[in-house]
Amino acid sequence: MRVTEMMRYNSMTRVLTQLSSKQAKAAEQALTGSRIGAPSDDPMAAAQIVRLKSQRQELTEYREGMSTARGDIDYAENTLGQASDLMLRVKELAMQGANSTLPDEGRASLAQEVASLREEMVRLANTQGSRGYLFAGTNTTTLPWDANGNYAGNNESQMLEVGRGVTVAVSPSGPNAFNKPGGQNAFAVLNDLVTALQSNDLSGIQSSLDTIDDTHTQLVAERSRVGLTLDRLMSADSALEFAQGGLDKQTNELGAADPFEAYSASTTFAQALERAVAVSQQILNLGSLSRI
Amino acid sequence: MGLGNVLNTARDALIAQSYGLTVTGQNIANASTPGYVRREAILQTKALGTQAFGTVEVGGMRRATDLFTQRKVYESIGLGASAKEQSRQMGQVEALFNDFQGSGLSDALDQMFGSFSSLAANPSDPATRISVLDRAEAFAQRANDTANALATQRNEMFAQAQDAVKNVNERAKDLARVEAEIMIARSGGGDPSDLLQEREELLRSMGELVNVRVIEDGEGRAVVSAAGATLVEGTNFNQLSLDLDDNGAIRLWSSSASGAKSEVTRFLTGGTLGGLKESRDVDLFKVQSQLDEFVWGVGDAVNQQHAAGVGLDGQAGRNIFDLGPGPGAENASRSIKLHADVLGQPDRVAAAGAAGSLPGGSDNAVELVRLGTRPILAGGTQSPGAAYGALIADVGLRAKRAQDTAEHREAVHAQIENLFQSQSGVSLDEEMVQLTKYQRAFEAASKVLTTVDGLLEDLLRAL
Repeated sequence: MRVTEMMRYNSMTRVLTQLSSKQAKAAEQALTGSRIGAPSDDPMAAAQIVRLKSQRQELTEYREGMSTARGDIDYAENTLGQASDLMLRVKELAMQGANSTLPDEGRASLAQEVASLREEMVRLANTQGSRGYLFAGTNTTTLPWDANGNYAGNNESQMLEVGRGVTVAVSPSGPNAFNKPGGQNAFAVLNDLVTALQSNDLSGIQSSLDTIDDTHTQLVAERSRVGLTLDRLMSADSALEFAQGGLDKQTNELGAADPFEAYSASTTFAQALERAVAVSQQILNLGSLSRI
Repeated sequence: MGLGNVLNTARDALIAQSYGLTVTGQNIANASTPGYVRREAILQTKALGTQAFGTVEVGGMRRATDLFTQRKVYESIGLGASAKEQSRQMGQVEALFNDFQGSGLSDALDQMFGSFSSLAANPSDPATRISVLDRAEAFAQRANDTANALATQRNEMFAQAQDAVKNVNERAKDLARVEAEIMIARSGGGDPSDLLQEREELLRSMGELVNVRVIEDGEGRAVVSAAGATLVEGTNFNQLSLDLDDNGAIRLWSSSASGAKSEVTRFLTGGTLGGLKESRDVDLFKVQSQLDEFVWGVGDAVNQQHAAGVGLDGQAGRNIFDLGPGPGAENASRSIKLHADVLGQPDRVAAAGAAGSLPGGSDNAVELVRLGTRPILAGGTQSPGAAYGALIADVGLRAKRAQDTAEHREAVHAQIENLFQSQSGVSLDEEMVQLTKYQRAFEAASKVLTTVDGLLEDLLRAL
């Protein structure tokens, strides 16, 4: 084959261009630690990474939703705890009032104290969390319990998605805690006690001790149900965290450049480039012209 | 036979050798001209009537090339230019869908479903409702931007194709002119080498733009066809023109001097023009319609689910997105925007499934969140994330294939160019030898001259 100068120059240019572009790419991978800078670098892996990313985002959303809900549930549990403690205090007062040796004036002051505890109970039932009234079902913007203990909320539950296709009712039930159908009406129980104390009705006070106990049990039961929801959310959260870790690992396996491989490729191409430059110099010195 | 004839012989030799030197000089001068075909001086013996001794004469020059190699060169230039253009265009498209560098729709999509998730967790919060509309609008906006960028690119490609056609037409005119000059040169006994060189250079630059084929008729006239249509025949030339069909795809027409037009689109396979056509009407078109399908699919599913729920005013049946006039998914990605029903009215975002559960009900918001993972796209087989992944994979594959083809064709072109160079290129080593050869022969002819001169002088002195 007849070899001309143009052939030499052309192939020199071509080889040098190719090598330096390969070297630049390898160096970029080694620098960034990422194997994929654009979809065309590996279309299938790129698609997979985009999918993993949106899955990860989905998990993040679940976790964020849960953390918002958790604050409120925590708050609700606390509130129910306060309410059940309040019932314990009421029981103490009722027992004092049931003592026949207590003078009537004593019962009148006990009645005042119970009346103020009743107001406290209404306040607790109307507690507001970050998403409105806690014990109102989904009717979160209207005051759910008036001074007489009438319920203005509804029996719906706020639902929260905590995983694909898994929803949890996250709102505590107001009626279950304060005015359970077939159970006790906490406000009425307190009212009855106030009336009995005011009228020195010893048998009335005596009988209210049972209803006070029942109300206490009712509040504790709702509290523990709420506590279970909280537990459930926390365990769901740690499961999601684990799943996120798995997705991160997959993404990394798909998209990350092997550091040793990337470094050695970058070095190999750099050396190849140096060799090509050296050979090019030799080629440029070839030919009769340099000897004339 | 006499000394006078020897003088003539020496004169002819000097003329012939300097012709050789001139040709060599020209070769050296054009050693780095791309496409230059080296020339060889043809020296032949000249018979002087019936005499026993002839001299030397210049028989013109030979160009070291043939039509076969030239044709291969034009073809490989055309295929290379076409693939390079496709790769360049797909590189631009890929940049629009590069979720690894922050462009693309996946962030906007994820954030929109994320805002549904926040809505499910906190349905009565006004700020959350505002952010749902914000995110939905951001998704629509991103879809608009991407679709507009694709549309702009397609428009620019059409303008570029028109430039290419204009250039092809100018070259066709030039070719016809050069052909006429070649005919004049040939009929006048002149040397058409430079004109042939010009013809080849014109064909090379035409080959960059469109697939060119050239044959020679019986009288050595070139018949050039571009995209299958005869463009130049001797001194006659036709023109190419472009327009768009009903679907907005490029059509290429060839029109003769008589004004008759015929469509040659399907024969357009090479050159920048071929690459532009393929890229614009196949790759970009497919990407555009896939984007439309995706955006429409997501928008429609979100609309249907949203319409099933009720806003804070208890009313159902409202859409979040206005998907444009269609039909179907057509142009959805360009026209998608927030629906007038909900625009600026965060109260109307339907988080609750029924009026009874207002304002804290979130069952419809939960359903909206679930759309993000449900197979609502590609005929009910892919979730939005998966469908977008498939779109990315398609764009990536197209870009990669274009890159690979461009690399491959560049290698083929380099080989063909080497073949051409090997046959027709100037080798300076060779030319140095030629230079020395003609120089020595010139010196020897001068020596003949001085020798005869010396003999004649001796003779004259003796007389």
